Amino acid sequence: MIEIKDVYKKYENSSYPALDHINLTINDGELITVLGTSGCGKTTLIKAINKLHDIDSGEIIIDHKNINDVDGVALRRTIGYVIQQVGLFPHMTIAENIATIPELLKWEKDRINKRVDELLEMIDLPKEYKNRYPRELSGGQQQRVGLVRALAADPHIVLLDEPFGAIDAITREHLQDELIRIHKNGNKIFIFVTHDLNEAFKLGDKVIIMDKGRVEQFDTPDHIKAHPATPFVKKLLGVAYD
Amino acid sequence: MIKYWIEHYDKFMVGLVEHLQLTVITVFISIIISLLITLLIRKYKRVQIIVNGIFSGLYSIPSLALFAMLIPFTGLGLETAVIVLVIYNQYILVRTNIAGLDQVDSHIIEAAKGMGMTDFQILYKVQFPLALPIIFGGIRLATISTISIGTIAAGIGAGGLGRLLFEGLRQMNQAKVVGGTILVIILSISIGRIFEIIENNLKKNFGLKS
Repeated sequence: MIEIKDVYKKYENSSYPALDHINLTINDGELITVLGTSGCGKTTLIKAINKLHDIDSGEIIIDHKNINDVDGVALRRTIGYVIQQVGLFPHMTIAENIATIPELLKWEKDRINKRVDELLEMIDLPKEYKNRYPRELSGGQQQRVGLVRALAADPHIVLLDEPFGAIDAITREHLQDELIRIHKNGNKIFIFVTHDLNEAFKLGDKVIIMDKGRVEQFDTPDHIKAHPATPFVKKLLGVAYD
Repeated sequence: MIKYWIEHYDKFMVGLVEHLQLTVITVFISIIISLLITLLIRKYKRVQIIVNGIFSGLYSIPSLALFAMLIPFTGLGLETAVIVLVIYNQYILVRTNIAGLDQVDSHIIEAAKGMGMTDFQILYKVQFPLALPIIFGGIRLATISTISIGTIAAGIGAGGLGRLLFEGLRQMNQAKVVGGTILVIILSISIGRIFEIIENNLKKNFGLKS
């Protein structure tokens, strides 16, 4: 469970806070999407959760522990993190890439190898790909490897920052379906940031709609569509569903 | 001239071997020191300006002058030569080390950090390997520079191919001068070529275009 309590963060040179007194609770097993335009604070929010950003005030409590009291590096090894550009290590094979966190956690070789095979199967990538390099894979394949690399140590929480943003529409749909399938198979919390309303509503058990650092609405897609809470949300929906 | 080369083949070989020795020792020490300085700069960003200033200043001092300044402290011979050459190399190596590390894609670094690598782990697992082609380029330049400036080291008793050049000039022996020069050129080009091959292999393996 993730509890975000009155979290506030403002950068010196901006006219509005990046995170303006955010209050939310995310429960185990939920796939939450965070929807908003550039600068709304959605990326800052997830980076605050894994301490890539610090916050000015408020608390973030993961599984009843205030992350302030946890070492950032140790915390990040227990939280999956996927970014749009993937960031696969070009000098490592696919297997080595996927094995990164297990190696950091000093797993035994056998356990790591088994896990790599498992994960390749999960994303339907043939075993030969183990020893290939990222540059030999397509964009969609790289993104799937990036996803699975984040899942390697079986983290309880996975943060995804617009992971499919740079992918073509057809592949994106496949990846979305795959993500839903992978999420269904466990009790993990996925927090998925996107600026695409359709994607947010398709994937999210609940959607956090953000604008200018504030949460405009946090509810299931159906409830949001039926009862938009603010003028901003109404406008957002009007744009998509006209 | 060629007759002289064949008859006095041993002189040239001694010079070559001494020169290689000087070069290898110098480059080896230069690399280690440049890496230490680079790590220092990475940790304390403000040091960079001071370090750059010091080494560009030192680099602009003509080699003979720098040798002369050091001789009262470290005497004539190999030691002084190596110290001066190592100092010169820092000007090149520290800059290319930093440039190499900085050109690594920031998204790769972000992914590494987000996965829970410590700053040091990011450096040696990710950044350094990916910077290697450029770092090697710097080492290549430093090596060639060492081979060239190293010829002057003979003037202060460090031996090497420079000895043939100086002797040849003093004795008006053209065979020595030309022969020595040709060997320096061959040494330079062949070592440069070997480094180029290594660099291209590194670039290929790390997915960067060569």
